[in-house]
Amino acid sequence: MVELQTTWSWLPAIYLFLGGLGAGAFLTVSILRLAKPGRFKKTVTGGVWTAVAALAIGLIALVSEVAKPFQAMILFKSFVNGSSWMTVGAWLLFATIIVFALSALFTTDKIADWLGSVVKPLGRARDGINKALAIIGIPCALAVAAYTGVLLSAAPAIPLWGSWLLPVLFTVSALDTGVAAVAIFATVVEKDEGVHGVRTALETAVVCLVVLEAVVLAAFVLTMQGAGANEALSVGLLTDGVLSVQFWLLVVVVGLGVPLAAALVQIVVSRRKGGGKIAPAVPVGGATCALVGGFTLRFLVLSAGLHAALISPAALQAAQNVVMLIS
Amino acid sequence: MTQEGKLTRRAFLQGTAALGAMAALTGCASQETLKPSPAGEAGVASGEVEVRHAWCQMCGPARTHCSTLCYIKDGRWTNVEGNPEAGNNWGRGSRSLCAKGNAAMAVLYAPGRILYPMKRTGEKGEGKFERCTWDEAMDAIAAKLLEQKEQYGAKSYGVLSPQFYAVLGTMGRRFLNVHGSPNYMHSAICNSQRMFSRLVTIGGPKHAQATDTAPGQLGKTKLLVVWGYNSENSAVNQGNPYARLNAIEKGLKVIDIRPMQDGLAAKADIWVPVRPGTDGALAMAFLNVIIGEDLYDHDFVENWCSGFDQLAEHIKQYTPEWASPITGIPVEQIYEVARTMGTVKPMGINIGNGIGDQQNDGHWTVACACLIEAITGNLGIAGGGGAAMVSPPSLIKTKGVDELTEKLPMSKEDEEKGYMAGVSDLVGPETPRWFQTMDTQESGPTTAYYKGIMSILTEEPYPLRCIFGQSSNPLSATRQPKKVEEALKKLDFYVVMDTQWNSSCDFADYVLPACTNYETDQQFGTKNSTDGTFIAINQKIAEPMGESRSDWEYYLDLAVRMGYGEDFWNGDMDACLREQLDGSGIDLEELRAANKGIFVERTDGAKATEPKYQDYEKMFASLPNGKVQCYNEWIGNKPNCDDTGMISPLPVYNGPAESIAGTPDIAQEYPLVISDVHAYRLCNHSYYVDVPYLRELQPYPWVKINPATAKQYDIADGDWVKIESKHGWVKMVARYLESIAPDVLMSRRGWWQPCEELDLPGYEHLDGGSEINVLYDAEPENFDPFNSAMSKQTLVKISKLEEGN
Amino acid sequence: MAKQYGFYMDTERCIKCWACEVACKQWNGIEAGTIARRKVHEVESGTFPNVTRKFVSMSCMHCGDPACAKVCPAGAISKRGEDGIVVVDKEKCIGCRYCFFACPFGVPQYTETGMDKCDCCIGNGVTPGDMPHCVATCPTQALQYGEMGELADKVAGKKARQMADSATKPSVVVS
Repeated sequence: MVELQTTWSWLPAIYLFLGGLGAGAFLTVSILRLAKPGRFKKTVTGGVWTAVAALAIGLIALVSEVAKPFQAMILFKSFVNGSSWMTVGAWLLFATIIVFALSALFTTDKIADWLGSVVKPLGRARDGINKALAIIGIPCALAVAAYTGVLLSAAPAIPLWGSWLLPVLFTVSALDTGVAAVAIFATVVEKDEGVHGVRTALETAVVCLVVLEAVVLAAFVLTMQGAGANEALSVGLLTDGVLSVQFWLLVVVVGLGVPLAAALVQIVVSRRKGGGKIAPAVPVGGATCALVGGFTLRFLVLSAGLHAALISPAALQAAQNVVMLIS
Repeated sequence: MTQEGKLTRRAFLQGTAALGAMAALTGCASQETLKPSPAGEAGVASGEVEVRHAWCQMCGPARTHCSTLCYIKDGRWTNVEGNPEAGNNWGRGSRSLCAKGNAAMAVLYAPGRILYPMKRTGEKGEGKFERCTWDEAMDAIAAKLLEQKEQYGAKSYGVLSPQFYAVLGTMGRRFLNVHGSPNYMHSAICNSQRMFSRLVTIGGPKHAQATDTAPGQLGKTKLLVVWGYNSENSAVNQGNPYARLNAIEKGLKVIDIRPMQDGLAAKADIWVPVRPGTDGALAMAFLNVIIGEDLYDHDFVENWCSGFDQLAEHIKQYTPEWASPITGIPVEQIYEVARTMGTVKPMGINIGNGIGDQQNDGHWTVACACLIEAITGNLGIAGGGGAAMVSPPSLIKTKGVDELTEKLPMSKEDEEKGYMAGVSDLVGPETPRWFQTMDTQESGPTTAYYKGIMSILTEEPYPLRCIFGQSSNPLSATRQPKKVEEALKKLDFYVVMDTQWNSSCDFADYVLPACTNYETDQQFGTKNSTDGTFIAINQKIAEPMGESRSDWEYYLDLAVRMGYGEDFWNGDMDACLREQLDGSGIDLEELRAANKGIFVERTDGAKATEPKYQDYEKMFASLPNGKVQCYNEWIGNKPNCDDTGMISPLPVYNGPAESIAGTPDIAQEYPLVISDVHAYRLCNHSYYVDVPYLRELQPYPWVKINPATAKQYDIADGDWVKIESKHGWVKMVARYLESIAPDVLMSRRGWWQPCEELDLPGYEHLDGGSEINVLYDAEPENFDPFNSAMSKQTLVKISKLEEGN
Repeated sequence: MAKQYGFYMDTERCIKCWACEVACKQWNGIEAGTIARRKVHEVESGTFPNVTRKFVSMSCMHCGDPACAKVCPAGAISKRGEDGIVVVDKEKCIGCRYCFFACPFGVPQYTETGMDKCDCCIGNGVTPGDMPHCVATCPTQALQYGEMGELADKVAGKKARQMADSATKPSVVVS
């Protein structure tokens, strides 16, 4: 009986998911903002605040997982070893959340207006600041999205995580969930006339990302199946082991299949002559499923991350090798 | 226990818990930094730690095997290590200890300690007690003993003997002798059983010096046969495993005969997984091959064996083909092992408890092993049986406690029958009455533990009226606790003195709190080697917990109250110790002040010398005709210990009361054989199951099972299982082990102690509990007719226990 | 070159008596039911009656190139220059448990004060280079300790080798 990995459990999974979601949402609205400056305010504001909230909650989840959270929050004391990806990540997250938060403040009319009234130059430069923050924020967001995967793939003792495909998978999933979150705002609250086009663009992006994610996921699974006994054992937990129901149902069907179907339905309907109407339940449902799938993916990758030494303890391996040499 | 008892104990515990919490807090604070927190020797050097000497108690109270240094920090005993001065294990410099020894602190601070004398207020077994004073308890005991002596005779008093126990062997025996009872209830599960058999087969001047089959010079041995002997469980730190591994590295070949491949068996060249309880058949088949194939030493046999031809004729019927279906060992392996034993020389045999005293053919099994060793010409040769190097004499000459043997009255019947004093009064002789002399016994007459207890029920030849149990739990120390419980319920007066509330305490009239070895300074021991002689006494590490007292003092106090004070130093234990030290050159104060003991170096350059080899005349002098008893004239054709039949002069094999080959009808319903390891490296018999460091390694009662068998019964590794024999049933946790035969199960006995620290329960001793002795046959008529050894094997069926625990 | 101390585990002499495990706990003040810095493992191979059992006592490998130290964000794990012992500064450790995923031997364990592992007993006052208590207590001398060069001499002629997973250069020899 194989015991699942529980050293990092729910809380880190929440962080991995929300960090990716926040990064993806910020990226999506920043592109929207740069492409169509000054428009789709509700979508952009919703998206930026989603990014800030997701990242913040994710960080709280992450910090509360460690034994000494207050000590961990003193970054310059606790994140000093430059050779650790976690140190790089901590400072990256610190910088990113500042950028995201500033962006959110300057995006929100009431706050920006108040800031402008207090410090006049800020009021005048608001559009420029927003643009600049979007430009700075995009690489930050990409880095954060990728970092969630890099953190795991840099842990050498977990065979399942030891592939560059994992950061790629998490990045694509981050974008996917980010777009999905933004799509909810575009569907539910956006009043801008051009929203139809935005929604179509978002749905197209969903189709592309879902397909890409499916390809990367398949590549990841296949690579791991062929990478060695330990890797195969771990990935087997997902494909036909104790985690397979969650994997096939929640990650593949709910997380990829449903959003893909929902997006295709919308694209097809919107192309009908006269711009066919579609119930908001379809895009909102599709996006929600994408989020469920995104979280489940992180959780399952963590759980299936069996420690090499615990699968076949290295000490024993060594002893066995020695025994073989002797006999 | 009553409410009151619980309250007082709990209040005490709260006090210690608070201290512990403080220690933990300060401990944590220092752990936060990289600054070392010095312990042990380093702590002593820095002045933060005190060191005291103690003889390790973890192989049983009142033993002096391993000398330990105990380190005390802030008033609490925190660490222990082997004393490098003493010459433990491999000699001077050794700081090693076993797992138990390393966990010794827990016995002092155990939450289960009995703290006050308790008097029963409810029915026997009900567990209702109230606290009383020592005076009240001791006066009541003294009065009862005197009253019973008057009414039923002194012989109505018997005392339970745990494993080797110096308090009982000296002071307890002295008390029996002065009081006038021979009923020292010896366990019959003991090295003594093997020594009786060796003595009557291959000689030796007396019991304790019976000729040995184990190599005295292992370095010169070519073949070592380890037979039912598990020093990796029973004596990890006493030199045997260490020396054997050294010898194996230098090319010693080892044949290990036992059902489970334990730690040292894993290092053997040949492992013979004999079915439990059938070693006698195997031994006879070995003899059959060795004699039949003419692999014996003709010179030796002609000059030093008596009745060899009768043996040779008799043994013809016991072929490997006969033994194979009984023992579960393939015919070819029996031939292979027998031929190896017959041809590789020098050979020695480590005869263990497993074959000597834990099966009802114990005597003949050991006797056959002795005969194999003898007729192959391996006795008394360098590397063969015995023939150890002779150490130069001890530089510190101490005396033993005089047991006042002459005080035990000689009855008329003793005189008439030529018995040693007291023998005719034995309630259930451990060996035949006619056999018991001061040369054949350890310290006087003995009754078998189980037989003595059964006299309460059978009243044959008379019932014991008072039993004193010290450091022994009769519900786990012998067979069939269901019968023992019945007897304890009927017993007039039962007194227990122990450190822990053992499961038999509920049946006692008085329960007295014993302190541990670590709270008293009343026992010393010596170790002698070519380097010199070491002597040390237990130092007090802590004041006795609650009102607990030393086991030694109990006897002195009782003796004074009974008017035997003059024979017991008028109650002064120090006077007793001074008497033992008199003339040794060491005085008691000096000894008590020595924190690491005293080592007197040998300066005269004396070395260990070679023994006189093949000194057969002397070796066999105590035997009839002065020869090895192939046909036993000493015990053959004489009454057995119960006077119910005669002992055979030639080897016989009866088999356990229930066995696969012996009772196929029973085997149909109960197809598996079960036995247990008896001594184990994480406990001392049934004690220390409460010690957290040991219990966490094995939290639940276990039974080892071959995975193939387990799967057949749909039992997964870690499942609770029900194990049922004709005699009762127990529950245990199944543990897969490939190195056990598919038709054999092995377990570990005891488990009555809970472990409060780990929140783990203790288990009952009746049906549905986990005391394996419930499963075994205990009909005295099935016991070994010569030495009262009992079956520790039976047939069982096994099933998954759904409700588990 | 700086000194490197390490362990030598002779599986031919280990009888699974658990003395090392218990000694480790008592000397390092580790409560029962929590963690174990040292563990005795077992390899059973073959089928009855042709079965062999091997026992191996293992703790931190004090790697030449410790993966745990590399990934520790707080710099709480370090390798001492003078003796090669890998130590944890419990004050610095934040308890993120990332090192568990880095150590190929699964050595790091965690208490409320952070990561915990073998420090060759220097934390309880054993002079670096002297025998840790697990070694001192071993009744069969199956577990030994010393400078890696000395250990190499000790196993010369035996079919021994440094621990298999050589990426981190464990300072442990098994025979």
